Amino acid sequence: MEKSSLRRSDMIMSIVIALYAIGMFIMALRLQLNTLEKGKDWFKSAGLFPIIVSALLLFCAALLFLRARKDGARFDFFTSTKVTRFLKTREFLVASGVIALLAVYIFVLIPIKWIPYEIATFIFLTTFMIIFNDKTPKKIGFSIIMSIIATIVITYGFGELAMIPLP
Amino acid sequence: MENLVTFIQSFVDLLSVNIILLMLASTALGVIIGALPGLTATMGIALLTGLTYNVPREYTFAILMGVYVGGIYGGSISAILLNIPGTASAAATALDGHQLALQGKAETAIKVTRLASIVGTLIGVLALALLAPPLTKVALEFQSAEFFMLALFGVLICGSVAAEDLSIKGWIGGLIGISIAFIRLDGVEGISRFTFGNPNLLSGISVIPAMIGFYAVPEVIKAFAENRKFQVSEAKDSDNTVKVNVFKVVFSKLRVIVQSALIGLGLGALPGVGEDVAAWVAYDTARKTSKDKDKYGTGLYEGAIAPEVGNNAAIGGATIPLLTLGVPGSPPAAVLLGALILHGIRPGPMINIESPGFISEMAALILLAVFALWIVGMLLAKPMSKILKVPTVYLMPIVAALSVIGAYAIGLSKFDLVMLFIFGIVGFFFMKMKYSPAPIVLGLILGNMIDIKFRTALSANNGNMMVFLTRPISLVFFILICITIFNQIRSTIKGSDKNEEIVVEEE
Repeated sequence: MEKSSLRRSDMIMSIVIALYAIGMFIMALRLQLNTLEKGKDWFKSAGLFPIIVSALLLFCAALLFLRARKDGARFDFFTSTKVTRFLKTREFLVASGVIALLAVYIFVLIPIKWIPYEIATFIFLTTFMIIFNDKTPKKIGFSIIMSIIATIVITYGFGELAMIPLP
Repeated sequence: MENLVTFIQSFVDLLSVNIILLMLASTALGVIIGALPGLTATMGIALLTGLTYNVPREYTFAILMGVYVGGIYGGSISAILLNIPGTASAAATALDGHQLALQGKAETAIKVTRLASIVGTLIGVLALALLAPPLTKVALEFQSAEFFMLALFGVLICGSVAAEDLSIKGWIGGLIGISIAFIRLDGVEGISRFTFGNPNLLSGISVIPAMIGFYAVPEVIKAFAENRKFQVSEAKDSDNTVKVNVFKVVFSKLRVIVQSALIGLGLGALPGVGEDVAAWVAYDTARKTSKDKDKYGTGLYEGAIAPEVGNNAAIGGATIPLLTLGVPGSPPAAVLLGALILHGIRPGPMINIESPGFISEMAALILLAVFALWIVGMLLAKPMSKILKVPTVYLMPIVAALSVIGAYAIGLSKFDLVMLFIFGIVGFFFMKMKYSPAPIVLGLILGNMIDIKFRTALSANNGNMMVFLTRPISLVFFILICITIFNQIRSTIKGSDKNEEIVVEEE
């Protein structure tokens, strides 16, 4: 990532972190007040250290924001053109694709009871390899063979021989 | 002397066929993992911690230490052959190592870095065997205030040093890690904290799925997103008629070896700093103190020796605070801490009482890994250029599938898979924004301990904050923390962050 883009993302991130820190601070403060209401010692509260950490985090977020501004970052990048351009970048599309594949494997294929784990893994691996490989018959065939071998090794090598519990 | 005898005894006890074969296999796996760009020693240990959950303890740690030692060395192979370090700790090795490959000396360079790695690991393991047991006695003096200060210092220093861009990002990572560790049933008050009524979160965020998420999933995404293509050099010398005496090449640089080993040990022992920084500092120090400093980066053997001795010596160095204080010295050691806890070992001052002989056993395992590395390194040197040609498109989906098994196997919980997924995505975005996963993971591991020790220290002193300033060791850490914070704020405001300079130079 270029330095200018990095600093812009730092600026957004500093705000996200600040919001996260504020949220944590409020929840931690409630815990602290609960402890005091119960008449317990203030230093035993579950909220004490989170209050300190959230304050430090807020401080760091402020430093990051200042640093990003100092390096020239401004809120001038939320234009439809720039957002559309970003959404069309190869990196964004590929990352979205990989995340989607993982999501389907973890949240759809594995939980479905009537699909055995072996089949779920084979589908995941084959789809993954074919999508990101050249679409020639040779490469597709090789992807399927690799998926079968990998599935067998994972399922029987890990699951049966090494007795590792599989999802 | 007594420690040396115990160490040798532990080594002899380990010499069974099963352990030796396991060690050879796991070291080979480690070398391959370390060499393949995108797979790191830390990721390998994290994955295998999950996969070896059911394996007996002695076998588990043979596997993990083999992968650790092999992985740290393996990175140098791709650094030499591809000019892309397989692990971050081999980045400095690429500077001169790849130049040697371009000059037709790839085979010799690989042999030299292998011997340098072995020498570095040996020095580290000796330090571990001899220094760790007496250190546990010193650590027995530590009370809650000292542990709190040490762990906090560890997260801060790790954040400062491991940050890939601005150091402040390392701190943010460390603090986020600590805040994630807050999510659990509080051990002091017995109330749920930040769990949002989800019973899966009462026992806290599982460390291993989170670590696999932070280390493995982002690499899988990155491998496809960046569409990297590699030009692999052959692992052989262009002129086979000239036989180079590798021992002579390495041991003629004795000053560099001693200097780099001491740097590796020292930096390795600093909480969370680890092999990557040790390698860079060893390289930089060797360059600055060399008569041939202008020739560094053009293919000097000592330019490849220094970082390899440094990063491998850091293995022993990082294991010392891990075992004696329960504070890991490097990211792989942080993952090892998770594995130790998983197998019922409680690292810290009581380790010699609760698990007698375990420190010697770990040192002996690293020593065995050194011998395994020697054999495996010779066997894998030639085929490695072929292994490095395995396309990402076949390798990374398998890593993704193994990550899922590794995350699931420990808790047998589908919720851990959700955690893997969430931390994987978060880890990817953090990686894009140059946040190192090391301080986050260290914060996650140490967060609960820091919190508990903080409140325990206050409770023992009726809420008097002066407890952190009136105990000498605690005071030393407090001063170090203040200096670190002061320097950090000054450099961030002035815009003179050293880590940032490194990133800009790389770009």
